[in-house]
Amino acid sequence: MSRTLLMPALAVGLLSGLFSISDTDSAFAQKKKVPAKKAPPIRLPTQAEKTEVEVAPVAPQLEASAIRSANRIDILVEADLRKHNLKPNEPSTDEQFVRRIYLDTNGTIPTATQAKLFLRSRSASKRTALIDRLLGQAGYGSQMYNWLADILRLVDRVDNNTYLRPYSDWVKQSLRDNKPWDKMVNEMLSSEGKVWEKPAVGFVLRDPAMPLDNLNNAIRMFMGTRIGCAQCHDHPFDRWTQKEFYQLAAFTGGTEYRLARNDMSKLSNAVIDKAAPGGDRSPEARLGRSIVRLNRAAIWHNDTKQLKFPDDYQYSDAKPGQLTTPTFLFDSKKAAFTLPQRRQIFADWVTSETNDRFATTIANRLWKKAMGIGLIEPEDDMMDETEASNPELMEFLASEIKRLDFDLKEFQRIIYYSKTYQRQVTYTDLAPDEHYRFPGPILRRMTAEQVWDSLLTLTLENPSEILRPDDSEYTSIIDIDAKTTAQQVIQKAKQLDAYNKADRAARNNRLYKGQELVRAAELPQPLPEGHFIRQFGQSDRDIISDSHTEGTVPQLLTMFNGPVTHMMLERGSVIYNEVTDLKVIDDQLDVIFLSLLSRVPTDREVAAAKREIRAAGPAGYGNVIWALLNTREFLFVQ
Amino acid sequence: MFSLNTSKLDSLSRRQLMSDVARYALGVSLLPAGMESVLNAAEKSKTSSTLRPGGKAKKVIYLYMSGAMSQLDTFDPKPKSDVQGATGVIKTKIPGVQLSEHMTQLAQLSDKLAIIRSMTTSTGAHGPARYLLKTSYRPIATTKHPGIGSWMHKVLGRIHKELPASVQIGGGPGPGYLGAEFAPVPLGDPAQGLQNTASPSYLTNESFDKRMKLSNVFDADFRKKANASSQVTGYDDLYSEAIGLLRSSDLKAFDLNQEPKAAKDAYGGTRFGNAALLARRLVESGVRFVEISFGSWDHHYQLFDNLPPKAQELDKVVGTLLKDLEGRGLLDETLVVIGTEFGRKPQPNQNSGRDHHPAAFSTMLAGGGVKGGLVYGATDDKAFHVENDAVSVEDFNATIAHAVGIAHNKEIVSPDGRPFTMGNGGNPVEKLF
Repeated sequence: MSRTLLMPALAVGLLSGLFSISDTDSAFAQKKKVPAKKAPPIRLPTQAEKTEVEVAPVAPQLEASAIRSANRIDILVEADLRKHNLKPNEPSTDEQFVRRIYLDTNGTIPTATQAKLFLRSRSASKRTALIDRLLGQAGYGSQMYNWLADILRLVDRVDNNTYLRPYSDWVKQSLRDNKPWDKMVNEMLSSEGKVWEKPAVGFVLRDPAMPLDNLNNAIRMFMGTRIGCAQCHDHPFDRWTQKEFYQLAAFTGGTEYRLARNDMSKLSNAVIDKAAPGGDRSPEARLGRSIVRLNRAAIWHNDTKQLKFPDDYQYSDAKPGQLTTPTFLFDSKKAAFTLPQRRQIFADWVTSETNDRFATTIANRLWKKAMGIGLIEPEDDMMDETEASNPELMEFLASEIKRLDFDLKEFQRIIYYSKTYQRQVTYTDLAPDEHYRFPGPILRRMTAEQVWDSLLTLTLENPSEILRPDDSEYTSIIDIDAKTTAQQVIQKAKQLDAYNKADRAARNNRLYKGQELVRAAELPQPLPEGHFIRQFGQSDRDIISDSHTEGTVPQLLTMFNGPVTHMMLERGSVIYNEVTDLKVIDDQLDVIFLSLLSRVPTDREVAAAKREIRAAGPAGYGNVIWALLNTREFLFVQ
Repeated sequence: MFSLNTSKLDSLSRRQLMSDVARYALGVSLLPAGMESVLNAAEKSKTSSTLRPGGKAKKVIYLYMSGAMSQLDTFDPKPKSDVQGATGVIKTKIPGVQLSEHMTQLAQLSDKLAIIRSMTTSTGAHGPARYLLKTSYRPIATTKHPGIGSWMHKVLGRIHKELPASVQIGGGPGPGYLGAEFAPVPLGDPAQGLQNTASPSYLTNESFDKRMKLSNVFDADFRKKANASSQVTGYDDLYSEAIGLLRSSDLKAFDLNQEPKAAKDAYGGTRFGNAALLARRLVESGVRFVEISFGSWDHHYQLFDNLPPKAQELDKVVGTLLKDLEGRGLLDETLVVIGTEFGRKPQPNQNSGRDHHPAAFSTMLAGGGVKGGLVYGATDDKAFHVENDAVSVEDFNATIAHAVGIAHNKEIVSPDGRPFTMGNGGNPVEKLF
């Protein structure tokens, strides 16, 4: 391949600004007349405002203990493999490892520069050093958020009367701060107030006026146990009786979802309508009524309210309408408490160190997150007879998360340090009805959020620092209290109207071909169903853990023709800049392959890519990138 | 049995070989083609001889009421009970049968409807119940079960060679153990149809193919390594399906803009209305199965304020759809189904809502050779328990299978060698045919 042929080709690439100009518009046809007037080019938002995101670093002094624990994992896994006459997979290559660890910890593939830096390092401890660094980066927060948002079903709004974004933001911030898991959950189960005052109340407000369903969800998410059947009758497959269900629900029987009416009783719809100069149909009346409703959504504990057995209670161990007595599951001993303490006692019981299922559930969920499959499957349907595929390992992991006081980051650091995690993935389908013995992680397709965030990494510098504008202005506008008058509500409604318009306009300004180019965790929750991320499997957040990684035809059409899979071909994209900074085609191809697959191309691939670029000119670069995006290797995590 | 087919390998192209390997890996076809038909014949002879023939339906439009639709406020009102609440009733064309007051159009069309009031299911949690409704099986960790669209695709094949066999508007089950070849095509907003079908203007079919070829070169090593991962190999089928679809001259089946304004208006112009109109376009063009999700019916809260607009929209859209299908002569070959995961507890709760209730609920069938003007089964005076002719979710799906001409005991064998039937052992409701 002659350099002299390529240079003019590249020059055209630089001048035209796109890799993906038409095949015929190549270097060899460059004399062709360019149309005089073109629509102004759509620009990538390369100048988006950046915010430095602080994420709690790992503690350097814990490294030695993390290594010890990781070794223990390996010993337990290898013993189990030997017992079943199986061999562990080979260690992963540095190329496989760097891509996987970036995706698992930061939710995105590394840039070419990041990959190269790691691959070139000769340091013996480069893997642990990279793990430690990545766990302290902004991407850690958004990656963890995406994972938890699917389990917790995080949404900005449950309905028009229930605003929950502060809760969602609180989850994200707690993960950035690495707040211990037991503290997070305890706050979710015990907080009181409006969501913008005490964001953790969002957990309960997520199921408005449905305390029993919320209890089912809490026990399933945090204790990996499904008691929902026992809401209506004794559980057909597990040990739970309807009585036990109601006695557990008795702890939360005092939960109220609305501020007492007398708090804002003056502000009825009629009063607001009357205060609105434009009458009841005017925008300020509509928004004013909405402000009042949004302020009524709040969680508080009614000390005197108690849960009764349902009117159709059918068993002889209690009577319909009889008051329930708070009683824990698994644990018949009665804790001493008064009615006002019930809710806090319940939160303390769920998150207690002595509650084995709480520790086991989070340990197993995090293991599954790193390895692709849990030691216990399904991860949220444990019964008394449920046994982990490797009970010693499950027990060890549960004891570790307790020893670490539910430090999610340190726990994951241990898993990532292990040889088990760092082995090559298992490429074959899992054997049905047989436990997976963890010779390595399993091969996975990227999650929807990982695909999106990776495409963003190819396009914008430091996308983790482009944040969704916070909602403090919005919440300060809508916040009212018992003293607020109807006239003040109407004033606020006008402010809100102006705010909404400005907010929409600002958002429209940020759009690139209709897309807001921020990381998945910074987009509205959930996204509308046509959005790229939903198409690739993000859940609508109705049902716990409902995301998927199945391929579909519309996903491929998006890969072929969608704006999101072409944005990295625009002038000014990360990969565009990295490639055009180089002059030698072999170096350029290295960068392209490193950018997409975190590895350099093979000889065969180099030859094919060069052939393409020779034939198509600058457009050939675009074609090579497009072709790489459409490989399974790009979509899967090895 | 694998060896039976290896002799043919020489004559197969590499592409065919790959898809055959995938098929074996997925257990899609464990028997050679000839053997399979023998097995089918054997199965057919096992089918109960008293069963009235179904099989008139070639296509299905499945309307899934997400969140569990209240039976009392739609198809099974109990006006004399103390649990009926604010929902009134209206007469239908069927003597002695009333529907909720929201179902005005369907009451008019009741001579075409088969209403099942005796549905019952085994779980009251949305996720598992939805899975059971759509696959006839309970969710388990080791395998995923296909939905009705994938079943029809697998057993009956495609009608149109480029358009997908099944389409979902608003989600639904994946192909499960059948693999990506039998995956439904999911759509988001029906008004937007299938997105990203327009290639950049400079990209001709030839240059597209060139790009794909290049992609195959770059991907060769990985695909070799992962050739025993059905998720990876499944992409082969998805790519050929996507490319076939892109180049199909009938792609406009997905485009609602081809419909006159009057048609859009008749369907109401809502998301659900648009979805139903799109479904009609699709079955008309040769799609076998269209599933539409319409929700949420999870009315724990203020049901008597929140349910009526939903029920009225359902009534309007289904009424329009049935008339439209009939006007086009499609109703006889198209089964229209209204399904939901369970019912609602009759006694209103303290928030004027109704809670989950798996013991009794209602569904509806129309067209596709199913008898109209019929109410099957009954609940007690509060719509709490099924009083007679209980229909399980499995029976319901066996009934759909029967309607489309899949023997209810027709087995598919999964990759791990387990046999499955579309209704998981359920029995078709014979009286509907």
